[in-house]
Formats: sequence, structure tokens, C-alpha cells
Amino acid sequence: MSEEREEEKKRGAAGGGFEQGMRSALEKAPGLAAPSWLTMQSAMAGGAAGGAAAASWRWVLGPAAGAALIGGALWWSQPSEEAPQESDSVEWVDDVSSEGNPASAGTDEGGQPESNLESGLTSEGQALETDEIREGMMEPIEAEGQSAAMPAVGTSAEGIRGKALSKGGPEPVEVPEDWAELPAEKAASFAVDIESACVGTEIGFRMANPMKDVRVLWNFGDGQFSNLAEPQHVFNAPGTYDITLSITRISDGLIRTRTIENLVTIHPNPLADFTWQVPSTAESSPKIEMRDRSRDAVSATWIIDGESSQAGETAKFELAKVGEHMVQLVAGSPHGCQSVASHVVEVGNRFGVGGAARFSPNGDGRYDRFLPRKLESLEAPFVFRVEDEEGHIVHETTGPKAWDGILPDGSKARAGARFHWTVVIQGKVGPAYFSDIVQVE
Amino acid sequence: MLVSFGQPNVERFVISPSAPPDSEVIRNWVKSAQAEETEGQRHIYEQYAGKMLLAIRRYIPGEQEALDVLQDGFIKVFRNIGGYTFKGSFEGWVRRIMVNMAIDALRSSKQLQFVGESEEMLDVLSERVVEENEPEWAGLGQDDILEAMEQLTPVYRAVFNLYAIEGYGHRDIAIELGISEGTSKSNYAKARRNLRELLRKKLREK
Repeated sequence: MSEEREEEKKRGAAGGGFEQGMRSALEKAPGLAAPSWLTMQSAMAGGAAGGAAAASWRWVLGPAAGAALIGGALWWSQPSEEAPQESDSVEWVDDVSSEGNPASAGTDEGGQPESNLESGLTSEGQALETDEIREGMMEPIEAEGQSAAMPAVGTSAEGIRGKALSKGGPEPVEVPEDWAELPAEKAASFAVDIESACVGTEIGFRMANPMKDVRVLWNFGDGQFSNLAEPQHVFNAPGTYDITLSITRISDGLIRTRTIENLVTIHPNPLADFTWQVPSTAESSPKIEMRDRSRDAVSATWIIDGESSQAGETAKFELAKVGEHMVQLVAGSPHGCQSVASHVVEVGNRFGVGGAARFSPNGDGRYDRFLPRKLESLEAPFVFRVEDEEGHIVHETTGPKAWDGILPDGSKARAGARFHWTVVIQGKVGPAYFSDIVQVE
Repeated sequence: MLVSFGQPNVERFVISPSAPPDSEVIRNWVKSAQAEETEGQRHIYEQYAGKMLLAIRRYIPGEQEALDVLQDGFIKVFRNIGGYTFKGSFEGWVRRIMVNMAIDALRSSKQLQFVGESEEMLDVLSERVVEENEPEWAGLGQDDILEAMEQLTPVYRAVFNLYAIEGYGHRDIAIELGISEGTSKSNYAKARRNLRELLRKKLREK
């Protein structure tokens, strides 16, 4: 424990009841179920072989393993610090800078700006990643390289300049004569529109010095590539991405490459969702209560029918008009990313559920009982409730049981009396509300 | 649904014994493991695997990823166990290795993204001056805590755990995660606020 922390302790800053409670809850915790010792032993046997074989001592190989690899999350490629050296054998791109990079000798990957220079082959994890990529992508480049690359470079440069690069990017020039000797950050210099964005944002990339008679390849660090000069790219997963630009001089095939680590940071969008409640009793303008159920969100803004809005974790709206109301929740993440959840909340009257306006419980066999017609064969759960004008419940059911006009005291509702009724139908996402008046004749 | 790899017994799980063994017993296990005997290693593994997995999951919610870290962590523990000098608790020594491995894994998977805005210093102290009607936090179960932590971002989760549970100072956290002290403090304050809210709800639901 650091001195600084001791200091804080003295001031009482770190010893809040919350932290203490958490610590003691965790101390008491029994722990989670872990794989057996036998499994561990076999893992260790594999681990001793070490190095690039690391992937073979995985405990389990499931679909998740592949996904993790594609996402660049090479969890298992990071064996303990003792055996990190094998990575040097992997060389993907012919990059002069990789020789002179002092960070490439098996140091712990810092992930920090200091190591952001270029080659990217600074750690085992990245080297493996690069290797993976090579498998998947060399062919398309070879295939497209000769025929399509040059036109593609030209057209895309024109196409994009209009919007992303309205400042007017420089015209392509001849490859400089000393190109092979330039440091990588100059030889394959590039820039990005936005370094920090939300998932789904289109981000523009461009070469700082567009050149003629070259092929370009962008590696966006998420398994996607482009050979346009000024590509637009959408990152579909949150994370921090290393961007690599490789430029090949067509005349002699010389490749210059620059990687900027952690260049683009993509923040997750929140998962917007909400639920709502309707009143259980009869109201002419029912108040619908919304509750935010979003994840990774710090703000909530509610919009009803595209008009009125409220902010907050809960919101109440009076939905006076009969019909389907569009309720939208805009959830905002701590980084300002937003997503929207929309649900339709239905508010209705007797026409929505086929409720009669009047009935006559006089035993003549005609309109003796009252039950909105739709409830007779409704599969969704519902509550049907009838109240007198003072708000006392006179009939309540969750099944298709009609009201026969008998009041709780056993007497029969008198002719001319009016009763409010409510039907709440539980939909897949949330409830719908119907309410109206029925008159006894 | 786990698919076994290589060994037929992969799916067998152990649960750590809850009562901590006598310190003399642990000492013997460690000595045995230092002599590279599997007997000592096995005892150590079975004693601590479950607890360490819980510790790792506080940083890494994904089960598979956490298992990988656990595996790497124990390999490291047994490789370096000769360096354990019986000063300080052995469990603490193991835990430190696991936590470091978890942070490394987060870092290499690029999940630790820090945002510039957090330089602002929240009034960390004032926020916890008066906490009246504190619920019984100690009554929380491990699953409650894991579930709530899962809802934090990786960064908040890491900062919170390092500070509140592992007892690191903000300066150490700053070094460990490559952020500024101010960022660590403000992230901590926010993580704490979110977590309290989530856990308060959980306690209320009980």
C-alpha cells in the first residue's frame, strides 16, 4: 500500500462504509467455480512449451475464442513475461522502422503514447494479430493490386474530397526520390477526421501526401481494410484502434508503412431500453409512467409522439388521446454517445377492446352480462376491472369472466347507473390501457 | 456449455474451501510448490482458484477471458513462487499477480480507454462526507457485486477495484493504468457513485 494511500486513510477518505462493506462482503465470498486441478496441470504442461504455442494451452475452445481473436482481443496470446521473445519472427510489412524500434524487443506492452511511434510489432499480442491479418487479407490485395488499385485510388480521392476533406487535400504528386530513406511517419503520413467517436460513426482517413503510382492499404485495426486513398470507415465495436497505412510504390514494390497506435477511440453506445406502467384504475387521461432500463447510460430524455419531452430516469406522461403513442427514450452514455429505444404505448376506449356502451342485467337473456368482446379470446394476460362512480371495485378478473351486474353487497346494479371499467393488456414489451364507461339499463 | 480440450476432465470444477487453512499448512504447501512438487501446487490451486477467479471477474466480466487470465496467473504464480519470501500473506501475493494479469489483459485487449474529459476533479471528498442510512453493504453477495460491476465500463471497474478493494493509491493506479492521478480520482468518484446506486437497488430488491 502506498504512502499516499496511507495518507488518505488517515484523512478517512478511503474508508467509507461503502468500501468497507464491499471489502468485507468480498472477504466472506466463497469464490467462483473454477476448472479442476487436472485442467490446470495440463495447461501448465502446455504453457511450459510457451511462446507462440500459447494458443494450444487454452482450456476450452469455443465459438467465443474465434470471436475474441477477430476482435483483436488476444487474451491467450499474452503468456507471462518470462517467455515473450518469439514474436520477432513475425514480420508482416516491410517496414524499415521495425528494425530501429527500441520497443520491439519483447517489452511489456505499455499501450501508452510513448510507444506510439510506428511499426506496431512491439508485443507478442500485436505480432500475432498481424499474423492473423496477413492470412486473411494478402490475397485480395494481390488480386486487386495490379488491375484495380490505381483507378480506385484516383476515384476515391475525388469522391471523398467533396465532403470529408472540404479543406481541399493536396493533389497527388510523384513519389519523392528519397522516399525509401524517409522516416516512416513522413513516408506514409496520414490523418484522421475524428479520433474519438461513438460506435457507428463514419470516420474519414486521408494520406497527408497523396502520391501517384502507388497502391495504398489501410488497416483499421478492427479486421477491416481499405485500398482507397481517402477511405471512410465505420467501427462497429468500442475500443481503441491502431491504424496502419501501407503504401506500395508500384514501380519497384517498395512498401512503406506507418502505424499510429491507439489513434481512434470508439466509445460504446448505450443500450437504450425502458418499461412503462399504466394505471390500474379508470382514468380519462391516464398517466403512463416510464422507467429507464438502459445500460451504460447516464442520461435519459423521453419523447412522446415526437413532441413533449422530459428528462430523468422516470417520467410520467398523460396520454389523453386514444390511439397508439410513440414513446422514445434517448439514452446518453458518459461519453456522449446516444441511442434510442422506441415503443408504442396504446391507450384506448371501448372501441379498442369491443366493449359495449350499455348492458341490461335483467335476466332476459339479452345483454345480461358485460365483458369487452376482445377479452373473450385474448391470449395475452390482462386485467379487467369495473368500478362504481366512487371508485369502489365491483368486478375484477384476469380471465374472460363477464360482469353480471351484481354488486359486492349482493344487490343488483340499478338501471341508469354508470360504471367505469379498465382493461390492462400485458403486451410483449409493456402494457396497453383501455378504459371507458358502461351504463346499466 | 464448455467444450473440453485435450483433457477429458476439463469440465470438472472445483470450489474453493471456504474456511481458510492454518498458516502453517499454507506454508507447507508453498514450500512444496517451491520445490516444484505438484502436491503443493494442487493444494494451492484448489484453495485459491475460486477466490482468484472472483477477483479476476471483478475486472473482466467475460467468463472465458477471465478463465484465461486465471490460467496464465497460476502459471505465473508457480513459476515465481520461489520469489515468495513468506513476508505478507500468501493469498495477497497471489491476488496481486492475478490483478496485474487482469490489468494486462484489459490493456492488451484495448479495453482500457480513457477519456480526456475526466481530467476535471470531482469533489471526491465532499461526496462521501455524510452517508446517512447506509445500507448493509456487507450483506451483498458476490454475484450481486459482480453483476453490478459488470455494468460499469472497464475503466471505471478497474479504477474502482484497484482503489477500493485492492487498496492501491491513486498515484499507483495512475502509473499502473497510464493515466493521470486526476483521471483516476474522477473515474473513481464516478464509478463509486454508479456502483453504489446499482448495489443499493440490489439490496432494496432483496
